[in-house]
Amino acid sequence: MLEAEGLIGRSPDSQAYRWLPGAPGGGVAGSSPRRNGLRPLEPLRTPFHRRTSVLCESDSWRDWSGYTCVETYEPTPEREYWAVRNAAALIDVSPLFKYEIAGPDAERLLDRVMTRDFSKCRTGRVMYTSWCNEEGHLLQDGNVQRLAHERFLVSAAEPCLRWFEDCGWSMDVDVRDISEEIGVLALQGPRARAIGEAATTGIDFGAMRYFDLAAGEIGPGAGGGQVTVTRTGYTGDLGYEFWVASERAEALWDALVDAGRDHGLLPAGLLALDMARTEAGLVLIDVDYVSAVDAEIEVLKVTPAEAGLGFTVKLDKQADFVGRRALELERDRGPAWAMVGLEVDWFELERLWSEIDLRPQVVGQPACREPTPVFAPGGWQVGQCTTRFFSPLLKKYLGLATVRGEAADPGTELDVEVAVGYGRRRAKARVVERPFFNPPRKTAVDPTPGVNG
Amino acid sequence: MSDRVVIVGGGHNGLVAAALLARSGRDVVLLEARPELGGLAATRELIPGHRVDAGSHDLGMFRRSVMEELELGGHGLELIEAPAVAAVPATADSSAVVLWPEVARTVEGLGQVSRRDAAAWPGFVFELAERAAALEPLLSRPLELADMGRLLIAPELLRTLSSPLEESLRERFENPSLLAALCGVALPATGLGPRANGTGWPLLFHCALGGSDRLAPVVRARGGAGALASALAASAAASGAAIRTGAVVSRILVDAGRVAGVRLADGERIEAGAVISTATLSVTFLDLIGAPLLEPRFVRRVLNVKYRGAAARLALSLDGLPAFRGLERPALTGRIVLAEQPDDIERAADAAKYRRLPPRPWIEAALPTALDPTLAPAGRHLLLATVHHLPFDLEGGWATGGPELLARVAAELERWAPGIGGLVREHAVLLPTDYEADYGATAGALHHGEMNPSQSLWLRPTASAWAGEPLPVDGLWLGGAGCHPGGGLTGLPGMIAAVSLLRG
Ligand SMILES: Cc1cc2nc3c(=O)[nH]c(=O)nc-3n(C[C@H](O)[C@H](O)[C@H](O)COP(=O)(O)OP(=O)(O)OC[C@H]3O[C@@H](n4cnc5c(N)ncnc54)[C@H](O)[C@@H]3O)c2cc1C
Repeated sequence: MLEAEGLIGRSPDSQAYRWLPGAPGGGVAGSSPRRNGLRPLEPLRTPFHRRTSVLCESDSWRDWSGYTCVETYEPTPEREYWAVRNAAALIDVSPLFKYEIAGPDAERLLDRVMTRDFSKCRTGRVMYTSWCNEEGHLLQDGNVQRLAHERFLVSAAEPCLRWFEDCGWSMDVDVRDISEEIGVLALQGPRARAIGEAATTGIDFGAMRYFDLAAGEIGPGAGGGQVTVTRTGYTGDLGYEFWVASERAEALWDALVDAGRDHGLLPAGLLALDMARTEAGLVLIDVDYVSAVDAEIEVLKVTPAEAGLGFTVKLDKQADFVGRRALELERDRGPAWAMVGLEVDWFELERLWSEIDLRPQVVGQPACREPTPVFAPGGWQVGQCTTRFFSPLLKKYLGLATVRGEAADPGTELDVEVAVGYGRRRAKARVVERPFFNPPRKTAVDPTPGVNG
Repeated sequence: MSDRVVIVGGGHNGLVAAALLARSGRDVVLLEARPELGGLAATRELIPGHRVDAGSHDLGMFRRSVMEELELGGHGLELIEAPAVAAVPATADSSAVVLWPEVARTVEGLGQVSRRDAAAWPGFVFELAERAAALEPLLSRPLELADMGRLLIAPELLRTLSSPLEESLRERFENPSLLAALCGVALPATGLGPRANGTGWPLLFHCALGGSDRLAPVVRARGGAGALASALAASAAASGAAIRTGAVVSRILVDAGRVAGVRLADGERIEAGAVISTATLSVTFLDLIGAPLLEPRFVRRVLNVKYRGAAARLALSLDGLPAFRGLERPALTGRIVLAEQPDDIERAADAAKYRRLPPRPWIEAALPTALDPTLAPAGRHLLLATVHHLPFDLEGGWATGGPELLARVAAELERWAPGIGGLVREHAVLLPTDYEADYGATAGALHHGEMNPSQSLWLRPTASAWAGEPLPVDGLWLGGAGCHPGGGLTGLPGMIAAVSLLRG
């Protein structure tokens, strides 16, 4: 944070620290500083920046893969969070890395890299998948859109161009980093369909099933420019993501904001997004699991099953994907770890805090990402809780935790370390099913506000 | 599972493996894409009536025990040892120097140009031989971890092999021609100039395999280097190996992680329980096995192999022996290094680094007819001029670069042997691109991957393992110059492959 703040203060005209495409003193023409695995010295701006920056009252920004992004527009994220659950929120998620994979071997490459079966992914569908290294250790998770028979778009949190190149050597396929060519807006919440419908033309939102994609035009009239809509998101709610050429990004923003006026649409920052995704029980790379690329030591690496993504591994698929052998062995012996939901006992929390004469200082806080140990009741450590927060909707103190396989069954009683003032205490917690919150509208066919919960 | 062993490639290494395995009673089929055997050490009629060596013409490093075991003498191989090891002719600005296998003879000659160098020579040869002898046992078998100790307890050896060659040589010698001669012997196929770290290694390698107690002599086969391939093929055939030329392998077939055989370009399928590939690592893994069957990190390892330091060969049919200044006839029998000083080689390496032709190419010349007149029609001499340190991916391409290089080589030859232009009757050229197209030598690399410490010893794959890990396909063995101990006409990679396979 400090670093980012210091840099934002620097004059944009200063060339001294520039290392951007075409800037003097560095950068291969047309190459992105992010692509080299380095953070650019000046924050990059998403194609929505001119819109988001004027709305960001709190002036609270965060670095996301080199881009400067709004943490929260208002001083606290609460209203933005409630917009996700009760109306709709507009979230700029452009910093995702995006790769276009095109050519006769495009499906073959994806089937080689990904744990999901892409021979079963029809054009117009999106698949959520994991990908692993040779040892079956998770590299990343992300969405893959099948735009045409021989054209896919992969979106991922971390760069992976080189990995695609290594896996696709000698295949007839073209992999292109199009991260900077495309802006992405997530429109999430029960009103999302109505807003999306009003803001675009040519897309039949009623016919779009969960994880479908469709192409249309921006704005109620013609000529607004192309947009691709996917019924996806990271909030566990009804929602859509809009993929647009960077030049048309502001037009898309304006159309959605216009259409959202009567629906209580709010722009939402990353803190609200983080709260929503935790309620949805969705894991986050670098927070809930460490990519095998970044794991300094062996024990930090996890398999998809250990990160709660076992459902993305298709060992019955035809293609021989990277990590398959290791994952077959894991299937036979069972994963060592499991990603679970935790619900911390509220009365216990109140008791611990009352010892220092306070109420539990967890309500109204953004999700906490400081990993803390999880113990067998009164016993040894069995894992760690990587995200936890008080759900304003469910009125529960919830966590995502990685625990030993034997401690993973729902109902298992565990202890979790909590900070009580300056003290470190153990509170009782119970393993519960994820997602914590899963409204029918998320996946409903022809979703209608008020009808699908 | 078939117990047949298929060997891909009929270069000398493939042939050694075939002959050794057949001798041990194995069912062997060797498949060579080209019409002739020998690979980069084949002899071809590139000029009508002449026997021109396409690549190596020096059998000095070839393992003697293998020759004896395979009775190559009985199968028609006749060796001729050249009286001279290496020579640098005189120019207007520099003196001639000749290195002979015999120390005293070299000292006598050096005395004419530098008393200091003459005095230092015996100690140099002794020390080189000592260090080479320490290295030699590591070169004829797969390395074990314990071998690392041998190197680690010999700090001087380690220093020599990791230092810039020129720096080590300058500790003893001052005469530029002498320094150039030694650099010229060591540096072909490294892609590195004498000021680069790690260039001590190729000289040690050369001496370790070429001569135990003296400077490695040049040894030729009567009839050209191809005579070695013919003798190996005859020995292999006598033991029952089937040797097929014109057989292009298009795929090594893999079934459930094990080799099942090979498929030829014409569709024929040959079953086998084991395949020894002597093609380059790049060809073997990326083309014949296919990247999609391999783990990405293994593919990356294959892609990371460096193949710099390509060469071109110009063969000239001459009306008589050229007059290299300051060299008598016996001095013309070894390597003739056309570089006045180490910097001439350094500058060629510099140019190659930037994908350019050297302004003044340095040339390794040989006059094989000075030892074996049968190679050319009566009255003719054959001069083989090899230009080293060339870029494979030449800026502007070889279509225009080839003729330009030829012009520069002609000018250089004229400078070193005035009047040579008037002797030339016919010529033939092999460019780096020809070596790749004709022999599958990736990027034209003579040694299937440059010979520097970062790609040698433990860092070069061996018959069944690479970087401490078994090869990714069961039943696949490597036996070409790309694996330990490396390139050159040694027969060792092929021998190690055969021995490893027999041990299982
Ligand atoms: C110009 C030049 C000068 C050299 N000078 C020297 C020297 O002075 N001293 C020295 O020791 N070494 C020298 N060398 C290097 C030496 O010749 C080689 O390192 C050595 O010959 C390599 O032998 P090999 O059997 O491992 O491989 P190769 O000789 O390359 O044999 C591989 C064979 O495999 C065949 N092949 C490839 N792919 C297929 C396929 N798919 N199907 C069927 N067959 C296939 C190729 O046609 C080739 O015949 C020189 C090389 C060149 C080019």
